[in-house]
Amino acid sequence: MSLRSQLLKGILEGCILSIIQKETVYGYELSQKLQQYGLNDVSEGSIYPILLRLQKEGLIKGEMKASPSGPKRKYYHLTASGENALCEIQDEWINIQNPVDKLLNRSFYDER
Amino acid sequence: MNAKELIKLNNKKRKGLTKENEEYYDKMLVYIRTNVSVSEQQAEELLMELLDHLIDAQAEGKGAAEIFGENIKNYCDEMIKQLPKEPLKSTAFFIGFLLLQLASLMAIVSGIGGIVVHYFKDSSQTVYVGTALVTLGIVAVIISLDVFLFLKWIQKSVYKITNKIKDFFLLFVLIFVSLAGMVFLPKLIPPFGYAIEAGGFLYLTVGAATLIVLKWLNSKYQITK
Repeated sequence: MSLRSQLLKGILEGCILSIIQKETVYGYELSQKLQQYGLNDVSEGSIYPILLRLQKEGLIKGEMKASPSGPKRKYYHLTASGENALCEIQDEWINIQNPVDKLLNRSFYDER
Repeated sequence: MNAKELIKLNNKKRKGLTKENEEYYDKMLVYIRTNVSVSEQQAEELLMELLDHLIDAQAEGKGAAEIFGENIKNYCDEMIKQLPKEPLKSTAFFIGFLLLQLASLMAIVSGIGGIVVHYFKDSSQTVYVGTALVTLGIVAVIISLDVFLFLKWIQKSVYKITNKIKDFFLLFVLIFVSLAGMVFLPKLIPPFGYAIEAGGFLYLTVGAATLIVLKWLNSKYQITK
């Protein structure tokens, strides 16, 4: 696995939780949303192992429901512990976002 | 929707795939379905989800390898790791049911065999309960082992190009060894346990009665369907 995808893997979980919190989505919708936000490097299929893990940890739940386009789909929604987990991830992200930004940003070298 | 309905729907929807996509998807399907430890319901729900995704993506001109990656085995292993396992109790019950079915079939066959032989020569019809049970055990172990090896072989064929001649040879050896084991190993067991005279008829009646009860149970509770 490349360094980039390793970096992304942990963060992706938070992003997926965040999308599911806003609205219930099914797999294909979720992958489209991630792409729309600009995460083009995420291969579409990689969301399924993550969705399964999040279900196993009880953070999300899937339910078969009729979709607007007709056939039944498995729609995901957040559980109470999923909401908590998302809050924690958001807090952690704020804590590391600034320092990492400063360290990794090219301007860091320019300022020296 | 339960697993059986999902499988039916899956068969129907799969026809909408292009040839390349179906080839790829079939490999995932075989690999996940032959993994007996995962919950059937969860596995079928996942397979349906993946199929729906593939159909949607196909409409936009994308291919399966682009979506799920080039390495089918790794991708499926990653998902199987997260899938809930089939409860041990239900697996044990299912295997027990099949073994009982096998035992009653064996009893019918050896019952008929015993009766036929008895008409031609005056062979003893005595059945030793202990010996009969150990024989059943040996046959059950050999068949379980064969099924296990066969499933592993199918899984392997998903991600590895296999040599047909070598496979055929191995299959031949496996069948030969299994049959030899089933026929000759029981002959090594000394007769022990409770002795029953007129074993042929007893085998036949008990076997047939058990089989009928099992068939009835199966049609009522759909255990193996």
